[in-house]
Amino acid sequence: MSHRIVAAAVRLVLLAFVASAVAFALAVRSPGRDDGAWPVTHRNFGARTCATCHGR
Amino acid sequence: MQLIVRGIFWFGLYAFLVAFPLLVGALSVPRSGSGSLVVDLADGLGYLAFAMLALEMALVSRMDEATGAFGLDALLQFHREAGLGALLLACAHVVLLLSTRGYPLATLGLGGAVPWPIRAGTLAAGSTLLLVGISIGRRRLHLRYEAWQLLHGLLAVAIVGLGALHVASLGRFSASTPMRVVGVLYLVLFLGVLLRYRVLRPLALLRRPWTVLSNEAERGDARTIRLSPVGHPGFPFQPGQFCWLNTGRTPFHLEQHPVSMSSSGEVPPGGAIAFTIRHLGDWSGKVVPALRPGDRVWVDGPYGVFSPDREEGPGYVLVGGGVGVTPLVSMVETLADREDRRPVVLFHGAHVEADLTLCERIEALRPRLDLTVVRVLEHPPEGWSGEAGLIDEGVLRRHLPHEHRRFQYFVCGPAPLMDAMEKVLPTLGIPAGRIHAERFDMV
Repeated sequence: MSHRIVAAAVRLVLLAFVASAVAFALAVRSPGRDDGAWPVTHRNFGARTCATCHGR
Repeated sequence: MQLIVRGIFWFGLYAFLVAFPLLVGALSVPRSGSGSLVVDLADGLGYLAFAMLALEMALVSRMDEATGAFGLDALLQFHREAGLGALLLACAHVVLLLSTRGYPLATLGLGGAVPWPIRAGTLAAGSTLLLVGISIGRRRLHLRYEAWQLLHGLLAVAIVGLGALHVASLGRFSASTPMRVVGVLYLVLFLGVLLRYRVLRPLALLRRPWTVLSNEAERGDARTIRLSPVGHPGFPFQPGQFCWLNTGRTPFHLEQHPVSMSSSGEVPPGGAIAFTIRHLGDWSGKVVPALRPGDRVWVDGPYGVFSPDREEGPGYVLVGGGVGVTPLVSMVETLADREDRRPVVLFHGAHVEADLTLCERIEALRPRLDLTVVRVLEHPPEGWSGEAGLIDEGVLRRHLPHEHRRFQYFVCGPAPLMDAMEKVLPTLGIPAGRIHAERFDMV
């Protein structure tokens, strides 16, 4: 199989994956909230203080 | 199943397996995102990167079903490029998270203040970067192939282990039951492939040893070793195929090398097969010359779809450069053993006359075949009557028979020769479907 076909297949599948990640983000998004997000680290490690990780 | 259908099936299965966790995540945890599109996108890319990395080993685990559809060289190239793609997705995951105010740069630190699941992710991403770096730059780094092979395997297992820890303990979508089930299934899949590739396959090889019959020097700094099966009938193969050779004490030895057979595919049960190996590194330059009759060798194969047995035609044009002529010699020897009288034109390129590997064996086959041999030397000696320079359009035009458009073309050699042929042959009216090339310039 030509290496160019393989390279094209990888690019195609990568594009499809990125598109699926965008679709995923839109699908799981909570409506009406886009606050810059306190991320997952702060949910799972909520018992810590800000200073634990950020020093402030 | 037809090859094209099998190809589409395996390609589709790969894409599905990579994207499936996102689908389950989106369906099982509705509207539970972080509230930030950027963070959710970063998470999606992270899941994809991890799934791609976890499937990397499956691509090169020599599953007969998949290699038969694509050829192992195509799967190896896909493995390399998909690995690079997974690294890009992992980098995008990190950069997008750092771009939000919730994740300062210090999150990438490995100090005790950073939660360990994040440190596991950072280490997994760093290991991926290191793995890709040593693979792309192995030669520039003067890293021996054998050392690279070991390091590559260790880093791959570390990446999947650390990545699994990162995803399972941190990803908020991973907390849902369906996602936990998916996570366990993927872990089982990875461990199953690892078990099959590194335990079951070597165990099967342990019962099928081979012994060295002879080891002879060839032109072009190469050696031909003839191997005979011990206590088993060996295997038939299609001319042009290759095997992974392992010269370790047991087949569990990690160091293995892909080598084309250089003998006829018409081998009777229990018959010997030959491999011609050029000095290109420590193994081929030190271990192979030291092999003595009676030494034990483990042979995993045959593999590859680079064979005239799969591509019927009224004649064949074979283009080989350097030791790339090896599978082509297997092809012409097989055609001679089958008393096949279809025309064959063999273009044999080398730097100097002393590098024309196996040219005596090719010459000896002439009376048994309708064989035309065109030797092309980059640096011909004085009085050389053959072609000089590189195998290019002019050389091909001068020697191809009138009906050449209907022939099947097989090209094997260094990357520049392969690149040149893939450009030149279509300009001569050869359809892409009749041009077959095999690349093993792995790292």
